[in-house]
Amino acid sequence: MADAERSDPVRLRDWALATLHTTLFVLLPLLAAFAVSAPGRIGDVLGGLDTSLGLALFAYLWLVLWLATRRALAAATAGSLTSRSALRAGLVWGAVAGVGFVGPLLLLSGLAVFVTSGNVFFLLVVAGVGSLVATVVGAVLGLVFAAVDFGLLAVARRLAGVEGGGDHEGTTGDADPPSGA
Amino acid sequence: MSLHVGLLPALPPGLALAPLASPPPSALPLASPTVSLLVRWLHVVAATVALGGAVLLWGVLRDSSVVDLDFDTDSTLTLATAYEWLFWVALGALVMTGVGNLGTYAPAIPGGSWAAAMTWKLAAVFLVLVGSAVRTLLVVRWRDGGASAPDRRRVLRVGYAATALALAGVVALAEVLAHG
Repeated sequence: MADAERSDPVRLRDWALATLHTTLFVLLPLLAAFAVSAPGRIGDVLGGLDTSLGLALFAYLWLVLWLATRRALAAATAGSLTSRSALRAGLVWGAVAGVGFVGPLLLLSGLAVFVTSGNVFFLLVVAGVGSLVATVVGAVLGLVFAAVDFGLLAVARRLAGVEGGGDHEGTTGDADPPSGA
Repeated sequence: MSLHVGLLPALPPGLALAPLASPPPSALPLASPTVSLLVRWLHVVAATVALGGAVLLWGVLRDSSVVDLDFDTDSTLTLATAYEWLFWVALGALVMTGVGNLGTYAPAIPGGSWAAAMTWKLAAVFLVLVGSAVRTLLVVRWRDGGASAPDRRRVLRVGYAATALALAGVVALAEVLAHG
């Protein structure tokens, strides 16, 4: 659905959940590392990353997850929003987001190696294996985030006192509780 | 978990994280002073927007003249919607610049009580994020119409109050991390 055709509430829902995904994707590994008293590992990772490059990567991740989340939510609410439709959309668009985020980075790094060494095999291996891993990881994370979204929508729906309806594309997708999903 | 931060060395002013010491001469320059300053500035501005907006909405919703929240005409709900857009921009910027600030310590991220305080701060941010998602979806739902909660004003007032208090706690932890 074109962005202009979306209602303001739908666009706000998509924006909020996409930003939630992006921030949790970064925050939870940090929280886990600090919780298990392993700040040194964080230092090792951050120590090799330029600040400007890190900010650019975060912004790019934010953009990719926003695009993927709005498409996933649109797909999940195209009919009735059930846990099954939400998880299916999360699986598919999570995989797309994984490739969309990692793919260009792999391509750039592989091309850099190719330019310096002329090794085509390395470029193909990096692109193939990297894309496969990104697809799987993205799909798994997409499933998790879809489950989180579905739970949050259910909680909000209960608090909002929704009596029914609103479970189609163009609305916020706060459907009745899923049945048989 | 207690926060024994009194032994930490004094750090430069500002809510954002700051390096505990100058990097060793052999370390790579990870960020120019201008970039570091910009990151810290954005971090503080984002926190101000998120916290200030929540306090504003909390205050507006405490006004007894705001009887109910109409779907299309109520200015309070319009204000809440505008804040929700800004809030998520601010929280995204906060996490992004927070990691950037943390990177200024790298590779020697402090442990001990400093790490404990950071753990509490990250956990608080996590709760703010998840709780705020519910709050935003409530506003979205009511802007979308079709809902009939008996007391929308009270629910939103509690939501913004909780957000403001939680963010104030996060700012306090940020101050502990920066100044000891």
